[in-house]
Amino acid sequence: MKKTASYLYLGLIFLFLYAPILLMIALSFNDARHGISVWQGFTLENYASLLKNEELMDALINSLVIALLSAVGACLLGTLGALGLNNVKKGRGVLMNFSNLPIINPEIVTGVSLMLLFIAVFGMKLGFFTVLLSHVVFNTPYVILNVMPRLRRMDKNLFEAALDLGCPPAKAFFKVVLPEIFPGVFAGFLISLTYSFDDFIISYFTGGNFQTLSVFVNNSMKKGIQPWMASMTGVIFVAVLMILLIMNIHDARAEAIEKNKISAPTPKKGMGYVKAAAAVLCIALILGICLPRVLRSDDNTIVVCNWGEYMSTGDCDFDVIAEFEKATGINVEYVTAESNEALYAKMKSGSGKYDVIFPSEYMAERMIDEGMLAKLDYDNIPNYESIMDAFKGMEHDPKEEYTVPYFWGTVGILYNADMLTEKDLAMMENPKDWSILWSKNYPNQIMMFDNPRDAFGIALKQLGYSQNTTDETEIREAAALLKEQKFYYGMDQFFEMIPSGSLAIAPYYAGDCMYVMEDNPDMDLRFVIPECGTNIFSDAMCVPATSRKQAQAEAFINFMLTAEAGKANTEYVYYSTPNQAVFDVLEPEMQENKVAYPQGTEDLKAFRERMTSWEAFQYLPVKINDLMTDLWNEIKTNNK
Amino acid sequence: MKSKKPLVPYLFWMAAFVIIPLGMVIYYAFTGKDGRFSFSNFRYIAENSQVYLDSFLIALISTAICLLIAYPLALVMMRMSPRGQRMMNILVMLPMWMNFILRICSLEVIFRSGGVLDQILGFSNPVNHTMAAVVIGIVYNYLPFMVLPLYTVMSKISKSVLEAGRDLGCNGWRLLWKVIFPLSIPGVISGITMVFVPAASAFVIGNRLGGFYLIGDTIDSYYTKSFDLNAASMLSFVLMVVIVISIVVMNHFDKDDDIVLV
Repeated sequence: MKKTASYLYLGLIFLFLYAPILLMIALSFNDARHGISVWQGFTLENYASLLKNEELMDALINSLVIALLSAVGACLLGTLGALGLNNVKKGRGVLMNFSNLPIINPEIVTGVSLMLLFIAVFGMKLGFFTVLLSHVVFNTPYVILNVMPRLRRMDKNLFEAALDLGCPPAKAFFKVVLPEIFPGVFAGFLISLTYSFDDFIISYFTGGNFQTLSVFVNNSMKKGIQPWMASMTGVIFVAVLMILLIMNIHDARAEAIEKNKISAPTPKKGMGYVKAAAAVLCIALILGICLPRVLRSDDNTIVVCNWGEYMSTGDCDFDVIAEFEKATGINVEYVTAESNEALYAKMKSGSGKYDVIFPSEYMAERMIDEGMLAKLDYDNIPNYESIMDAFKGMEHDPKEEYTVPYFWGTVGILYNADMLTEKDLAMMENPKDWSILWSKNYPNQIMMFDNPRDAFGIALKQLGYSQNTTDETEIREAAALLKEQKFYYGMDQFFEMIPSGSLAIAPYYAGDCMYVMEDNPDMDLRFVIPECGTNIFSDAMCVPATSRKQAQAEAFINFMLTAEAGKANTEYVYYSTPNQAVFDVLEPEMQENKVAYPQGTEDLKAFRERMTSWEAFQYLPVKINDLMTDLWNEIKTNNK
Repeated sequence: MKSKKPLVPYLFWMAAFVIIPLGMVIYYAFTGKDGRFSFSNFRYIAENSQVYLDSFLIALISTAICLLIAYPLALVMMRMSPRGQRMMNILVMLPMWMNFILRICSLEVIFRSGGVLDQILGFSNPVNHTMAAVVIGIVYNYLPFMVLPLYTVMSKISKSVLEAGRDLGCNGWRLLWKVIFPLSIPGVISGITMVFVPAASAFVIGNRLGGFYLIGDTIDSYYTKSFDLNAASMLSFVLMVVIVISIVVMNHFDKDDDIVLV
């Protein structure tokens, strides 16, 4: 009876611990591109495509190398530290507290402060070594905490005895002390490995362009859980399970041996050396394979920093990066950023050094203003010719000096007609404003942008103000309006929750709305832009002023403007192209799609001039931007 | 063995990678936007006092729930064969090899309206996008940190002590309360530390599962949305001070100054 109860208890706990993992593994067989949480049929393709995804494989190898090296480093340093600390009588408590600071500190504090240390104090370039050092920093305390109890329980006379018997101190350490504390060191090693592999925040802040798997996953979340994330989880899960099981069997055998022949440790010890040598050899081999990949950097490589899922690359049919490399012989290191603000912070702090970036117009404007962008040599970008007139000399770059348009789009409301009341449905035929978002009929089913600029933009439009207002009272009014509704704040969730029927109404970017509508033809999804106006955005390709490879970067920009690359990108991302050469080769259904190209047959420039209530974001003065962040944090902390 | 020499490289390491970064946080916390010494950043503490309280409350509740779930689990593990115990250890640790963001997203897929849980239940679950969902997320994420130290301590309680207790007439609950629990206190304390610290500064979990920011998200927001190092540092500094104080206070309940881990 008691036994049944305890097994039942175990079962429940493991159900809880494993439900999310099993769910993810189940989804890894789902035949869907974005929004994989809605079942669309069985496939093994997600596993096959893993190997083809070069950026992913790079990130995975980076993560494994960092985990392994940092665990080894932490074990060496931690064992030394524990040995020393163990002999300190006075003030050990204080020293231990300091030693534990990296794990007591919130990770984000450790991450930011280490980043500042590397950049401001040591003047280091962020990358492989800074991530490695940081991981050793937060792993060492775990090793110490595991080794200390073993050391304290150990009989100190053993070491003295060895010395008295003529053993040199070093030999005595390896022969007497190390075997005694080894289980602690090993436990510390395993924990370090796990934490290092799982760490996201600290790698994110100290990594610069060097991306671990966690950082790569986070930056790729833009369009929801990607199929490769699920299949990746499946592979890692099975691999780690196998390794741990093998270790377990091995331990059990060792234990059985020990039980039977307590007095015969000699052969086991000899075996120990063989095993240690084998382990060292394995590690050396792994490093030999991985390190050149991790440390590679040459003069012919440019760093391209785009938003996640914003370019036809990775496992796509037409990989624009591979094609560019083939065509020009220039190598591309492709990294992703999370948001305009995060990109700005990374560049401003000196932690992100890129050759091509893709900021939105308001951020490009700010970067131009702060001298962060290089003036382009348009002679190197002959394809700039084919950019539509409507996107030349826009407000953020009136003299056409710094930017080349990449994509554009609008913000509108996507709604699930089956979930709306009839009255609301009639109203949404031709909505005057954004008031449906404040409806009380759809609790938990109305999404709002999870970023201040877009969310405030909608609230300001609803109030009849400009999205670029610098009037503090208007911004405060908008904040009050946002507080009136308990929104489901989200970004990537859009791609999961519209198809699953979890959201009734969501303001979102037109291109993404079009994608979700096309991908779910059975659902009655409709897209509309309220009459009172909206945001019209454009993202630009730019070269940071810090780039030393401007000519190669310009070659890359030029390649992105070719009809083939542009078409591949447009078909992958679904956003609207500002490039006439690309537009001309699109499928007719795409060209005529009113969601992506609301101008229809009208001249785009004339159309934009007519739609005066469609505003492009401008960059806000720092004071206003700070106010918006303050108010945003207030809204978000109170959205309970 | 009595030599303090091995400590020297570690002290240098600590100075470079622990003390200096700490100093930088303090420096930015007490610097205004103009780069001069100032107390003006205290306003962020006042503005965010409620967030601190909420974050600590959620962290406390989550830690308590972790303890309540993990303690019986450790007891069950204690009674298993060595092989079974190792198996359990592996199974508890394994979920941590799934990416953090994906763990949270997976929970979001389960709890959201019309999600996996709703489909199993047949009605919309009341947990979706509430404080309760955040607590569940934190418990899910940090439960292994509670189980492992508890198990380590309990597995070291020798069988003879338990037998002596039984011989002296202690049974069932009494044995648990009078013998096992006092001996497991170091594990309880390190478990609480290991869960409470990351829970208090948790980030992403509150935003995704509850739709609201906790203090970790707020600090991140100041840094990533307006590159405000001063505000972020001040908020971090206060968070750090509170956490260190609570750990020091809690360690007073433990006579041994070791934190017991796996």
